[in-house]
Amino acid sequence: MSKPPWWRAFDKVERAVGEPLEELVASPTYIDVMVAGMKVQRAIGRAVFRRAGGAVETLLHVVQVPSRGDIRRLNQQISSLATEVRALAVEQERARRRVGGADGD
Amino acid sequence: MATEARETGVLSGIRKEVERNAVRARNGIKWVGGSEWAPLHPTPSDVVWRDGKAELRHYRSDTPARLTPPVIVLVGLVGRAFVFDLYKGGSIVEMLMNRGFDAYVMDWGVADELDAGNTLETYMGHYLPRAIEVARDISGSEDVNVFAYCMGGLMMVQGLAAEQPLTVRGLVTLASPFDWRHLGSTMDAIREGKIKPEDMLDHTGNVPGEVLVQAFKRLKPTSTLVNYANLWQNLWNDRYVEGYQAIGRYLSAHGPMAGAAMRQVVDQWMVENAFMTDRLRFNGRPAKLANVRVPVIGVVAERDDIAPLESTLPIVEMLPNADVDLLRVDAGHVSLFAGRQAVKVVMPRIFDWIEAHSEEIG
Repeated sequence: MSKPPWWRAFDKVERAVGEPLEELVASPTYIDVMVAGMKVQRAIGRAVFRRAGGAVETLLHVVQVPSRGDIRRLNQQISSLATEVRALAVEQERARRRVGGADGD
Repeated sequence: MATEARETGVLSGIRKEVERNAVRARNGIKWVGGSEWAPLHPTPSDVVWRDGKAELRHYRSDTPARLTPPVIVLVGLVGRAFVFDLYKGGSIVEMLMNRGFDAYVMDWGVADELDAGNTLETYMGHYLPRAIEVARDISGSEDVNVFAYCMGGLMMVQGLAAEQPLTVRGLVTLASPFDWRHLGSTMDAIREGKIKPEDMLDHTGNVPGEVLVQAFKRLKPTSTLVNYANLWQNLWNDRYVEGYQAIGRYLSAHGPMAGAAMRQVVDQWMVENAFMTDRLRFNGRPAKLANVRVPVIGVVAERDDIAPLESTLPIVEMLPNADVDLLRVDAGHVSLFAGRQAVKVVMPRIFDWIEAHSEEIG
C-alpha cells in the first residue's frame, strides 16, 4: 500500500526531527545531564521528606498510629522472612531428593 | 476507454477514502471515549498454581492437545505476561493450542513492597521449578518445552546453567539480549556506574515500571507521534485498531521490577556481562554455561532497536554443550512477536521447531 501524501510529508518531518533527537538522547552528554537531574531530584525528595515526613511520622506516633515508614520497615521484614522461608523450602526439597536418591526411589 | 477506466479508478479511490474517513471519525470518537477493541485475556484459562504474586495459567482448548510435552511461555521481570494473549487471532497461546500444544503461561506477577527482596533465585530456583512440576502433573508429562521472550530467555539460560530442577526438554529464546555492550547509552551508563541501582529504586524498594517505559521510549523519542500517525491512517480498520490497542497496552504496562533482582541484573548481566564472560552466579555459586545441555533455538530480529542483533546473536556460540539453532527474522522487537508477520511467519517456524522436539500423544 503506498502512503498518502500527508503521511509521506509527516515521515519527512519526523525523520528530520527524530534522527537528531535520537542521536542527542544517545549521546554521553545527555546521559550525564539526565543522571545529574536524577540525583538532584532524589536529593530534593530526601530533603523534603526529612522535614515534612519526619514531622508527620512523629505526630502519628504520638497518637499511636503507624506511619508509612513503619509499614515499609514491616514489609521489608516480611519480605526477608519470606525469602528465608523459600530458601529453607528449597533446601528441604534438595534434602528430600538426596534421601530419595539414596533410597533408590 | 482508457480515460474512462482511469476516471472510474480515481473516483473509486476517492469514494473509498471518503468512506474510510467516515469510519475513522466514528472510531476516533470511540477511541477517545475509551472503547475496547482488544479485551484483556481473550483466551479462557485457569490459574492452576500460585505462590505470592507468581501464577501459572493453563489455557483451555476445545480440542485436546495433540502433542506433548506442554509448552510454558514466559517473559522476564519487566514485561507483563498478558503479552502472550494479546487479542483473538494474535494470541501466542491461542496459536500454540491451534497447533496442538498444551499451553501454559508463567506470570511472575506485579512486584510490590513485599517483593522488593525477590532475587533471580526466587524466580528461577523457587517459583519456576514448582510451576513446571504442576504443569507436568496436569499434562502427565515428564518435562516441558519453554518459550521465553526477551529477559525471560536470559533468566532461563541462567537457571539451566545453575542446574536448577527445571525439567526442560527444549528452550526457545526470542529477542533475548545476552551481550550487554550493545544496548544503548542508558545501559552503558548503568554498566559504567554512572547510574546505580539505588538511583532507580522507589520507596517500595523496586524499580518502577515507568522508569523502564521511559528508558524504552528514549530510544525513539518521536515514536509516540509516529504511532498516532499510523493509528490515524488505519483507524478505519477494526482489526488494525484491535492489534494497536493490545500492543500499545503491553508496551505501556511494564510492571515494577524487584529491587534485589535488579541489583543482580546490574552486577552480573550488565557490569560483568556475565553471559559473555561465563561468570554467572546463582545462590552465590558459579553457574557455568557449559551446564546448559538442552536444545535451544535463538530467535533474533534483524531490526530490533531494543535487543540489537549484536546482543542477541551470541546465543549461537555461548552454550558449548547445547545444540543451538538460529532463526533470524527481518522484524523489530515487537513485530517479531506481535502482528501479521509474527502470526503468519515467525510463530509457525518456532512451532515447527517445538514440534520437532515433541511427540504425538497416544
